[in-house]
Amino acid sequence: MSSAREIIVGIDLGTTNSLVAWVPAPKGSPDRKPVVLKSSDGSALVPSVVTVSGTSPVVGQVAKHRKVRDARTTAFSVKRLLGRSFSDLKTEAQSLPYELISDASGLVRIRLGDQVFSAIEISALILKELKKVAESQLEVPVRKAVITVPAYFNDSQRQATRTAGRLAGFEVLRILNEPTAAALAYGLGAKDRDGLIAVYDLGGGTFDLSILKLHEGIFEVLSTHGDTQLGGDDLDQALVAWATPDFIRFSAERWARPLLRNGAGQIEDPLARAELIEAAEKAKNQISGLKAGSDTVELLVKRDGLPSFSKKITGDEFNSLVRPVLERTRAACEAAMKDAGLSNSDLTEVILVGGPTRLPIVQKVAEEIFGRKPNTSMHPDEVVAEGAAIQADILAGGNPDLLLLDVVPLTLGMETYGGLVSPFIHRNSRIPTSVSENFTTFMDNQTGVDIHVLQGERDRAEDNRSLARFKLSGIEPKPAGFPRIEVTFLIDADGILQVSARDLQTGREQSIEVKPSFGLTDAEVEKMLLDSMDHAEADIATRRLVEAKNEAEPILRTAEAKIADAFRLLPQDEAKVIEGRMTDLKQAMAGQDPDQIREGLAALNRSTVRLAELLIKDALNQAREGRGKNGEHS
Amino acid sequence: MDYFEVLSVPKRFSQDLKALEKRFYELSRALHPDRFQASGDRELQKQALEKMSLLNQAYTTLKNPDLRRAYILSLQEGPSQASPSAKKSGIPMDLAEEWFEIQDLRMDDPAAAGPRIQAFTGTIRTQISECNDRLRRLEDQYDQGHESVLAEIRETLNRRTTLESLLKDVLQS
Repeated sequence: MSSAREIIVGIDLGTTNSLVAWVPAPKGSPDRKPVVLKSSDGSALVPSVVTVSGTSPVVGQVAKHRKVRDARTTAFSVKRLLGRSFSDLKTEAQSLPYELISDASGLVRIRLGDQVFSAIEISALILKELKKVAESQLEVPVRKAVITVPAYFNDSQRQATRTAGRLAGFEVLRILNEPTAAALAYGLGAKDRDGLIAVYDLGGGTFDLSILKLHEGIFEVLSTHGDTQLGGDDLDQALVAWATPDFIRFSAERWARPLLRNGAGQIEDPLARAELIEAAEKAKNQISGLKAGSDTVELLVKRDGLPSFSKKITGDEFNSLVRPVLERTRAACEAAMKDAGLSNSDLTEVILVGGPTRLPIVQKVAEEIFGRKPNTSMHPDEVVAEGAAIQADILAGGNPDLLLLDVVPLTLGMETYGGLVSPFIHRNSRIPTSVSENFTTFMDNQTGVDIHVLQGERDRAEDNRSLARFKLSGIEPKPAGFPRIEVTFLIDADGILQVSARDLQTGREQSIEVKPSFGLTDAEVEKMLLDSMDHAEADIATRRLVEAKNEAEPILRTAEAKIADAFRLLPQDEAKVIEGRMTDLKQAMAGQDPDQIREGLAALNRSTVRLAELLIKDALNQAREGRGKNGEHS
Repeated sequence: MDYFEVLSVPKRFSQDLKALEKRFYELSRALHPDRFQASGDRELQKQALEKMSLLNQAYTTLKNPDLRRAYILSLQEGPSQASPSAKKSGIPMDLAEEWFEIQDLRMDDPAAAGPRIQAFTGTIRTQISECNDRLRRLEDQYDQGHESVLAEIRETLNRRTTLESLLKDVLQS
């Protein structure tokens, strides 16, 4: 690798697609533009889809193509499951073709065939794929990354994302908010863009609205709001719900295999469900191309040997169908504006981010909310990854002119008497920030204190997200109320909570045992890292085998095509040696040992050196004869 | 180091918000942990995190007039009584009698109570605005170096709090 610097990439880990970008300019160069890295198929978007129908997981475009065929062993939109419990996702579970189950601690798991994964592991596979894309493009190892998350992600979801990054082999330098990243890309190198901007970020599965002040390279987030369960997927689902009754009727009449509905009103059969979701997604993506509201797009489900199901929808019908979903963005926009203390006329620009904002109806709703035409000049798919790369550049010291000042999206509090919450860090507080609280004991000789930390805006503890339970232990036995323990809650620049405690009388650091409510403990992460290293060895072995086979295959095929020539041109025993080595190589390729294949290949190559020479001469002779016959001269 | 020292601005009720923001941005550029990521120095990063946390708290407090006022008062009193709004607010003595009469009248003759409630809310509103005028005047005096007015400021603030809570009660009734 170049000794000049270590590369830090920016990653947009999306619900539907993921991207990786970097800033190629060397330090000191004024042009700090980010570049999105493309995978070998030339595409910047890596679909956030993982399928495990074979021996090892497949990620991206190939997995996406198998979304329908291998519906039960292909996971998509997993970002919506990150950092959440099974009980959070009961409704979600019934609209997905793959199966969600609960693990012992209530955390959601994904069953794909006979294997079970956490959402973190699936996300790590996607991140690993991006790492591969970056490494094959840049031709150096890439170890450090900035990864984006929806601004409205809570602590558990941020932690889960960071853990996924670690599992993928990254040192995650920053968890960055997506709308903030978009603002960075928007404001990069353009001083005339100073002002107050709103970023309306509708992704595949999440919605964020952030208000920022841009001033001479400072990007100050004034407020942020959102909905982590609202995105383009919900538009697909609206289409699915709309087409379901006809699809069911069609299946009964024309396929003679009537589909059933499950408890949530969804189609029971996972394959049919996946087919209809895919048809809806395809139809939705064609909507932006319609010229008139009365023009139609088609939902089409094709099955081999069966009549195709088709249902048409006009642009106007689509707009009225999804409008109620999009209206759900309004409340978040208004809340963010209120928290920032601004009215619509204060804004200088409204920027749209995320694939679904290509839809005219989304642009229209945003315009209605803010009373101005939104700016659609940013590339809705790439801008977040670009922003992540800019932040990576800032962290690498490449761009000292820029600085991001962000906020925490949700209030943090502690459970107090009667199951109520006492807030200690309010939503939209600038981060990093810290708050210290003093604790004491209620009983004589008590040596531990339990603290329950929650995140959310509700008054009752049970209505908020439980983040963690902390146990202050090892307190010296003393009369009740005597010990003084100071607990410091620190929100770092990632928006993630760190807790430390100190005994004020002795000045000693107090031990704290952190039990994340919906995440993994450090010990669990370590174990998973070790496991993945074991797997990494297995992965490498698999790859070597595949590569050896790929290398041997065309040579063996050529040899097979030329063996008749060998018997024509060479002494018979020499031709027989070649024939023997071909058989050896074929046997090696049927086995699992890459070294044996390589040896077999080398042996075959050695035995065919003379044959190759003779073949060339033979070809030249034939060409000469041919030319002679035709009487042509060069 | 108090918040005014953190931002190197004078300890005053009245603040030039533009200058405060400018100072905050300057210090952020110098102190933010992002500036120290590339150094690889853990100790430096930890210090930056602490300094930036303090700067954020200082700026948030001094930017908002109510928080700023409460903070100045708490600096004098000590942190135990930091939040004046948290104090139990009773009914202002001079208005209590009228309020009780109105409540009785409403039971006996609701129609007659209407105009009196209206007049009463007018009185409270006038008094609140008098409190605000007085606060502004006193704060100006403090800003010009008369630190002794702090006690009066606190008193006026407490009165405004009780007036506001009474107004809320009256309007809700």
